[in-house]
Amino acid sequence: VSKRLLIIDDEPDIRTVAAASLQLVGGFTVISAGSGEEGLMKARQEAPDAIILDLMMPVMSGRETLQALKRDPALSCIPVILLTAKVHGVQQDEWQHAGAAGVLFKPFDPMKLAEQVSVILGWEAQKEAGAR
Amino acid sequence: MNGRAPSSLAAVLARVWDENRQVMRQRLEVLNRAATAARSGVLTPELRSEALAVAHKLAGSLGMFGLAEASQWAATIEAMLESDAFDSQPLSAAVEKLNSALPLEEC
Repeated sequence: VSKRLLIIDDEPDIRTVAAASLQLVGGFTVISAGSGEEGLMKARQEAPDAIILDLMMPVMSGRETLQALKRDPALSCIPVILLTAKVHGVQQDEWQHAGAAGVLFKPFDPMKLAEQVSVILGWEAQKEAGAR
Repeated sequence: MNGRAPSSLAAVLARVWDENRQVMRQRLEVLNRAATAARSGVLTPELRSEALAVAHKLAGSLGMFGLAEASQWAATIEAMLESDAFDSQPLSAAVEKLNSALPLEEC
């Protein structure tokens, strides 16, 4: 059964390319949301294995969405990877303190995104252990 | 746009790029207007804010289509528009470079 990822980003083109990349290259099942509010709703409905969350979104920012995810007992254990532009690079202690599992930078390489997600979440190691 | 991608992913990238070509043009136009206004000393806070948001979006998206140079110029423009020490000449030059690096003509 493939891992299920929820992408929360207000930019439709980034959602589409990220979803295609994760599905076609990584073999993941992908759910998309265009806002923090929609992302919280879909996280509750779909219980994904991990969430990729854009930091800079209108109305409900990525930081606010992350806080809401971590406050909800049903969602707080889902690992969250932050997605942010290089120019707004966040410090490691900042995202770790906020409870994120890691950070990915925009623009991402569609060919490498799935691998980067797997490395951050330790899924590559799980796959290798399972193959032995 | 991205020659290294497998054919199915390359097809998605090409489709998304085509669908967003007009949006990219509109975003570039905002930056051109901002650069022109800055050169004339009439860049309003509203247009600067709009240009900043547009530059941020371009910086974050162009690279995934294989347009690394254009993405870098957009990031440079974003940093310039965010800076307190803002200068119109480097902004105009960077916007001109972005125009040159973006393949927006229809074939």
